[in-house]
Amino acid sequence: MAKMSSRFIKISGKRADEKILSFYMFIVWIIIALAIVGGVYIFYSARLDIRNIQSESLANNLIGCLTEDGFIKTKVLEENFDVFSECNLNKNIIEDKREFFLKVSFKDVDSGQEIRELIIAGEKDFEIQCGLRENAEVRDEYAVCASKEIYILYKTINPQSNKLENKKAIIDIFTGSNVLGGVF
Amino acid sequence: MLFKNKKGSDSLYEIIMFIVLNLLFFGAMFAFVARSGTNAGLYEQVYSKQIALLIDSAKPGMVISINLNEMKSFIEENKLSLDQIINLQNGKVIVKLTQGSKGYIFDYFSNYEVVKGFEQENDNLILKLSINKKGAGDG
Repeated sequence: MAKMSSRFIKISGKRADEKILSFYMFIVWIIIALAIVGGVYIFYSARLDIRNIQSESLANNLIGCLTEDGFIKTKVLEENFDVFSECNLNKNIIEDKREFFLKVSFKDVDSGQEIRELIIAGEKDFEIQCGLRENAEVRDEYAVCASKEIYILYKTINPQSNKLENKKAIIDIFTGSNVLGGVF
Repeated sequence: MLFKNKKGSDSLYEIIMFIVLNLLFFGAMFAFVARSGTNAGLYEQVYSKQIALLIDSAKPGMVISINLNEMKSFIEENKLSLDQIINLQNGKVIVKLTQGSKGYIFDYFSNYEVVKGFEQENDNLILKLSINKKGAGDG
């Protein structure tokens, strides 16, 4: 053993090489490189999800434009009410691109009757997707929704006395967003 | 005299190669991480979403001010004009911090007329967005 070159060590009758630049070193470097690149990619590709804030914002926006001084605006109860123009909503984004959903119902508190028909716009499937979010396994591509319920007054003509009177109503607002954004 | 010894010169050559390759490899890794750390893409995403949320929660007549100091280095490095970095069109916020990229696009639901302007206030770069009502429903 003493006569043997310092570069070789005899182990169990086989010659072990001390080579510094070996094939395995490059394999280790590739593994390190993949780990670093993978880690950086995963960290920076994480999406900042603000769909819940957008849904809340849309719901708040609707509350602000449908009500005034504790009352439902009178034009909201008219048949030709256009939620897009009244609430400054972009019809192209909500209806055509289907990235948002909104549903507003108005009910009389005492009778439980609808005081006007539902206001619905956008991607109706979001309601189902958000329902699934609550009950089942969540999929990231499902929309995120917000729901708000407010008690408010509205003016109506009493059919018996034929006079204008204030009645209590409940406005149920359901909104959803699935705007993911990105580089297109 | 060292190189006359064949085994010794082989060993030294191998060690030098090993050190050079190590420096190249770890240098490349460091450069990659440092470049990723500046992350223009992340800033594009953050600013586009922030601006979209601010517009959606604004009321007509408001003026929104946003400090863009974090963008200054990208603007200088990539020689971008202020008009290029932030664009608002058809309900979209487009933020672009690198030359040649399309930028990060994010939609907002409001249908306001948004007028943008830039101001320099005490070394701070400020984006001013004036929110005005426009003809509704025309997208």
